[in-house]
Amino acid sequence: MNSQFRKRRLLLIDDDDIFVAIAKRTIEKAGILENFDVFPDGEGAISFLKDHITDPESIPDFILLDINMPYMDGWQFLEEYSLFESMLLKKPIIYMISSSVDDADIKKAKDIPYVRDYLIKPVSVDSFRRILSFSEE
Amino acid sequence: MNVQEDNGTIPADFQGEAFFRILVEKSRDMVCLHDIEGRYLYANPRCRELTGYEPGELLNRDPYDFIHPEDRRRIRLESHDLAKAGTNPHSIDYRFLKKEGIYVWLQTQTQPIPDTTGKIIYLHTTTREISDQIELVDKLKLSERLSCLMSELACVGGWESDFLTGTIHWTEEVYRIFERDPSDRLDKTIIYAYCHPEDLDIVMHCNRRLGETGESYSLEHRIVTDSGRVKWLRSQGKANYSGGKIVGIYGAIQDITLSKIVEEEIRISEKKFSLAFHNSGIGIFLLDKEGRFIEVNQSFSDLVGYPAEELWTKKLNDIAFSEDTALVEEMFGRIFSGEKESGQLVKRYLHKKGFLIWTLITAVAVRKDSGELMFVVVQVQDISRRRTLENILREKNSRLKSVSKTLQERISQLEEFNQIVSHNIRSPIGNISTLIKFLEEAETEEEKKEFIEYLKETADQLLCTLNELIEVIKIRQNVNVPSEQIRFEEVFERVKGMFLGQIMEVGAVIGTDFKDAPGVVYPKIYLESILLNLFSNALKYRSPKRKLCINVRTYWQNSALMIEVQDNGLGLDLNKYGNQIFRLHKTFHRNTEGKGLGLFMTKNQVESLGGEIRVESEPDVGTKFIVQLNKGYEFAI
Repeated sequence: MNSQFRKRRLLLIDDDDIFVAIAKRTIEKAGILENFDVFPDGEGAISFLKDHITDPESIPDFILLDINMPYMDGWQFLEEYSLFESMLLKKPIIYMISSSVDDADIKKAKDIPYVRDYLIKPVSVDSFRRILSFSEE
Repeated sequence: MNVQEDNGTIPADFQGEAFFRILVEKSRDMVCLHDIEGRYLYANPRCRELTGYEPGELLNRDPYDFIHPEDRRRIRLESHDLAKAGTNPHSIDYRFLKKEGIYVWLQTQTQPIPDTTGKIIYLHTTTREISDQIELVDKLKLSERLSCLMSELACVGGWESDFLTGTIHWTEEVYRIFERDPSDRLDKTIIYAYCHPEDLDIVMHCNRRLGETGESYSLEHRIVTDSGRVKWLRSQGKANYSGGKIVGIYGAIQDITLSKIVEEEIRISEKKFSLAFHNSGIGIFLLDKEGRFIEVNQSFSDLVGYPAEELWTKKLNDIAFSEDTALVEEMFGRIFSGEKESGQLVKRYLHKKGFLIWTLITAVAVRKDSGELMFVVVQVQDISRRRTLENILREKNSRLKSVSKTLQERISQLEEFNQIVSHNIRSPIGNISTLIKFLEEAETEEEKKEFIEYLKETADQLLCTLNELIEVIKIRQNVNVPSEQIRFEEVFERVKGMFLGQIMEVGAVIGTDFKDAPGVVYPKIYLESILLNLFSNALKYRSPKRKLCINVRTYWQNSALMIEVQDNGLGLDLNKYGNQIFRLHKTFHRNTEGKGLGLFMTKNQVESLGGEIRVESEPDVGTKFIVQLNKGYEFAI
């Protein structure tokens, strides 16, 4: 692991409290990020992004997006996101994270241009490390 | 004048010239003396009546002046010239112009008078009027000519047999009919020889009876002419009586071949049409312009169950189905009035036994050249069977649709379960597996405790989800939950009772309308659960901006029983949430205790009994849930 690793901001959008706790701990252990925000559904995240549309400091480098959530789910989030994506001064890298192994879901995610990849839960420490460091290069 | 021959004794009173004068002047004929060229030298007084002239007026006049120009030449040749030459010509008929300007027919006998040397020096004429005779002859000629013409036109020949003389006379037309030269002899035997072998006996018999008893006859029979042509004749015979005895027989023969052929053709053509009409598999009838049946075929009789005799006393609409009479009257009215020539209509007939028959009728007007309607031909096709088949087909189709719909539902249920498994079960299991790994790698007791706490929480969550799923699967499988007669009023009162505190707290206005469909046969717990869920949803998602109004009503739609629960609450953007509203663990409003279970359960309950649930909503206006309790029929016969 590189000690020179620059710390980044991450936004996790998931309603599963346990998963959020696990993810938080894993990433903390990895020590690869300095900032970690959580929203239990899409709506909160959308308004957060909209509020910081011209503030690259606050715009996360990564977004980990769950599919199945009450209120606004992952797909709806992406729909809303597409409406103002071009106005963001910094484009976050979006990963979808879901326990669904449904091929239809995977294909749908891959067809969306802003989505870098689709990760199936549970996500291991290594996986976290890989995606978060891979994106740096 | 000398008398040279002894012609008898002259009475003593009349002597010499006076005697001759009296003879000449009293004659009934016109007596004249002419010179050799014909000029009048003397005319007796009788000339007044015949010519209109006084005797003196005629003296020295040329008779040719009075004779009709067309007759002059004939008189000169046949009479005058002969007399001049000394012969006694035959009497001659000619026309003479009377003094009053009209021609009369005269007949004159001319006699030459020679002198002693034998030289003809005078002409003597006696003349009488024959106009009446001429007229009679003309009339006779005319009538003969006409009768000839007529017998020719009518192809009628005549014959007469005189028993006294034993002669038989045949008119010319008879020869023509028998195609025989009039100069050839014709007798009884020859005539019989022309008879068609099959008809000979009857012809001979009739003629014999006529001769013996005077019994007249009229019969149609065939002859075969020399060329082999068969002709049809109508022969008539009558007897001639004299002093009560038969003295002869006479008769007429008419060639009726042409009319016989036409008659036969008509007969065949009528037979053809009659066969076509009566044996048609399609019902056909004729109507007069008042709409009465004139002619009806068997198929139509069979179709409607009325014998033809009964239909003849009826009108078209007497056996029509009452609901169709207006349509029928409209169409036939137009045909009767001449506005339309034909028309087609699907209509029902009421069979005599009381059932309905569906038919397709086609009506065509038949009119005289003047345009006046003679009758209307109506064809009736029985389409009841077709309709029944169509109905069966439609029913099968609808069953198929419903099966396909059920299948579609099953598939979407599977998809739903798949989602539940992946999101609601797979997800906590993933967490458990990670937490166990964390636990193994934990460095402090504190960490371990924390992970065990997470593990417990996840396990509880998993158990809860599993229980919910089991509940749903139970509902799904339990198709045969006992149903009972339920009154909506009662069930709803109980449900309302459960929320009484809340209703009073928010001051909700509850309206119900169960008039159209007051009750249903349905599992009571399900109905209660459905109403409870929908009602609690309405209470839960009320708008803080207005007083809550909830309306519940039941009604029938397409043979299906419907329940509607409508509120004026927060409402939902169905474009956003439309496909998720009935899913497990879905909630759409913050700050409420919803767990996303109620509608999921409700949907499963409704569908497990063959019903449907759908939602109409608008944000900040309200929500309406529409439940169709049972399967409706798209199609009812």
